[in-house]
Amino acid sequence: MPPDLDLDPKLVSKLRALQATPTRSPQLASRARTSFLVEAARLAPSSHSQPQTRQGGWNEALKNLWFFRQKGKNALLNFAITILLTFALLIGSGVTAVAAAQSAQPEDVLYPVKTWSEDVRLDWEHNPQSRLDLTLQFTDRRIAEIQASLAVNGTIPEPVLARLQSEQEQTLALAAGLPAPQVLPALTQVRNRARQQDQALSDMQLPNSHAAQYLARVETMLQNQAQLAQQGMDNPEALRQRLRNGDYSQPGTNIPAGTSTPCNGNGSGYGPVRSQTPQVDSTPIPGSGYRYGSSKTPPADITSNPGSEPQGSSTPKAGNGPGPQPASGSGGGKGGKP
Amino acid sequence: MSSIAEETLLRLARRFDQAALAELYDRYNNGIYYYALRLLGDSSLAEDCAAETFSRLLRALHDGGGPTENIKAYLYRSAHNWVTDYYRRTPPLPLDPEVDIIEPESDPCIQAEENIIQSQVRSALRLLTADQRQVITLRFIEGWEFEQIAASLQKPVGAVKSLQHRAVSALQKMLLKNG
Repeated sequence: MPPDLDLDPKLVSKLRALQATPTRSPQLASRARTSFLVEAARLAPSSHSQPQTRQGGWNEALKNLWFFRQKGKNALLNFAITILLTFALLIGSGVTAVAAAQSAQPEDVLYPVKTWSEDVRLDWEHNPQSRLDLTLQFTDRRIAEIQASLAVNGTIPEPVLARLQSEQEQTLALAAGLPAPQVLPALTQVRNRARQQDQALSDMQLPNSHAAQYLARVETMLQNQAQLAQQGMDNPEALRQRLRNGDYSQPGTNIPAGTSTPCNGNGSGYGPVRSQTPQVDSTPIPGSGYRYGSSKTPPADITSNPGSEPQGSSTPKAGNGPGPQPASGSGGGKGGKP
Repeated sequence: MSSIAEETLLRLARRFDQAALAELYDRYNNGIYYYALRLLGDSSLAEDCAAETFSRLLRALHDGGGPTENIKAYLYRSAHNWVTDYYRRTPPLPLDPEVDIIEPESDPCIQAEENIIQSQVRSALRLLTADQRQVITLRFIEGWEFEQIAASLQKPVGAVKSLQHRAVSALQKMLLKNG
């Protein structure tokens, strides 16, 4: 017994009494030993191996994969694998969301994802001709969205109009900026696309007169786009000059503010196209009008072309172009331009 | 095979090498038997305890478990658990001396007195906690060092000393209260 300084000798004596034990029966001991060895033989690997099931085979195959073999041995590797899998899952979810968003309508939750993905695609496209093709493709999307919105709601969301306008301006700028031999085909492409889109809208069956007003506004935009492209085809340098000045108004309509009135004096700013007096109930707001509706359009030229069309920065006033004017009735009726 | 290192013995036992298992059994089985006998006071129960302890070892090795380094500590802990389970299943020991432990050739009077003391000690040990009982048994009856007991209990040495201190205090109250 190990020495313990503070242990009572009487207690030690009593505990030692347990050390006295009778001798073990040799027969019982031998029998126990035999039983143990028999059990050991029974449990030996050769006798306990089980036939492999199909599942067992798969399990073994999985265990043999390198990253499962490393489990528990390399925590850092496990962490990296977890991060990698999580990242892959997020990427996969993001790709799925973007793919699903491509058919989204403006009122859908995924619509911002759709427009964002379009912006990303444009950002990644560096070839001017390809950018032009892609932008024209996106204008087709806007027209399709406009058709759907008009058919279902009888209205057009302002962001869609703003985006369409921005894309139209981009197509003109891209086409005019191409190398000289490519300018004419590109502008022809822009003009024809605008006409096709205008034709597609013209064939629409509208649910009400309110929708007709919205439709007229879009058709005006498309016709203006076609005319600008045509002007560029006739005189590319003149178009470039207009674009440099940020002037996307209808060619030949730049008249100083206060000297003209919108068509029929209704101040709609988009002129008669389908109906005689296009009615746009709302006051033009920044980014919603035909001109400078996009944040990508440089605002610096607003003052250089006063009164050419609704500028969207304030409520239209009599005499400055976009708002209701004293009825002179001589306005060109295009986009609020005098 | 008798001089084989414990680490090698364990490695061979994991492969179910029959000679290694026999060596392992011969090396520790008697100690487990007497350890159980001292606590239980019954040779049949001690045989059962020893047999079950080694059978559990075989099953653990078969399942990939079992001791990792200290076979002795593992076996004594397993036997101790068996005894503790037995205590839970059965009523406390009677104060009468166990006939089974009487040595035929010894003086009956001395043997009787010794048996009474053994029975008292066993009853007192049974009233301790399982860990306290194991510490006292291994320390004062089996003669283990603190480090060995700590390995068997899987506790720090300081905790073992603390257990011993409380167990000794309890035993002194139980066994020495009448002088």
